[in-house]
Amino acid sequence: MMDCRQFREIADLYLDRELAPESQVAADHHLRDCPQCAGVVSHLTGMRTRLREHVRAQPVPPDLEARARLRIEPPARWFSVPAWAAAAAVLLVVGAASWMTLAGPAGARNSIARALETVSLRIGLPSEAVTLEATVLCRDCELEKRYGVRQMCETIGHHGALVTADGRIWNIVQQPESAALIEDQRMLGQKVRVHGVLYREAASVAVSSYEVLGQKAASASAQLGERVFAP
Amino acid sequence: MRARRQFEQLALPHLPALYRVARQTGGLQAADDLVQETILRAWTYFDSFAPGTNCRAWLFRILHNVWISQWRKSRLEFPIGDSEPAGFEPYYDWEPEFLDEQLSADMQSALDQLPAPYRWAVLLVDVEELTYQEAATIMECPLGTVMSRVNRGRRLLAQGLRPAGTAGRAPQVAKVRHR
Repeated sequence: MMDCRQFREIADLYLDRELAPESQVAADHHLRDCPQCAGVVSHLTGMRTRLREHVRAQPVPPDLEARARLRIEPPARWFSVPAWAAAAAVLLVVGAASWMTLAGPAGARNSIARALETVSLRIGLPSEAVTLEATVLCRDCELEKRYGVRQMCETIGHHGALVTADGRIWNIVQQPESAALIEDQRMLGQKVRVHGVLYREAASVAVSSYEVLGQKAASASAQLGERVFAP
Repeated sequence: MRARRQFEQLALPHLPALYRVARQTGGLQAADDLVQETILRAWTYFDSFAPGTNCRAWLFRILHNVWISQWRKSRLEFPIGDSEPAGFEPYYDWEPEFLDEQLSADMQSALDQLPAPYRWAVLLVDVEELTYQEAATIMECPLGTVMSRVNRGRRLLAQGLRPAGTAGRAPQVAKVRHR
């Protein structure tokens, strides 16, 4: 049995439905027989109704949502491609993705990767012959870690990319010479020295040859290779 | 691109509610900035939001943090602190004579008089209908603190809403009949 004193102590909780079920029942019982406590509840609910009506009636600027949308910048681009190249790449990706879905997810992803590489190579972005040292890591796993982009590696396998000491991810251009770097799961975590052509703005490297250096890194992301060497 | 669309669908419907609270806690001039900053931060940290969890509470928490940052810039004292009295006051003193009075005074000026912690609590729980637990997460305080802030906020609001001329007279602390 709940008495007035007890009720007055839990009146807020009662109003906010924060009471345990047994207490709720006891409070309901008390209120049925006690007009004074019922008056307290009625006073509180009346005040709350007025408060809600008052606050909710206040106008919200009509362009609030439009301006909020402007604030939301696109997410960081995977490759540091200039805006016009990125737009072209998006068109190609949309095209590639739509007809490649028949080939299954692996086919679609490879095709998208190829499309992006094709764009950057075709539009003749600056390139430089390089020798660089890096760690082979899965591109999609890294992107998930950094940007929350959901990866499909469990289904379609990891996709190797090169991560240099500065933390940048370099996409590996699909070629027979680099197939193992991309596809061979045993390469993940390996430190390598790579010779090839770097497309800096497309964040890609076309590998012509490579050597595996030392032992497989215990924690791949903790042991990144040395600086990129330019000739 | 997909994440942006997802964010827009999840977060933007809560804009009016965020604005309402921002206006009452930060004032009309600052409300817009508070909301825009909240949205920007929410978008920046969207990958830390677990899908399927309570987006509204998450956004209000960000708004509360933004509000505190803005407050800190403009004033020296911390808006919510040790000066807050502990515990809550049961409604022993709400006798019928007090309850019979009409709450006729202006709601906005009564709200304006509420100190910030109580105003936040009343806005989150009474207006936005958040649970005590959600309010505790938003205000980053214990559950008991939410309860006492809600209680004090309501008591002060009721006091502030009493007709002009009676505001100075506190309700008589009478003996409550035991049943």
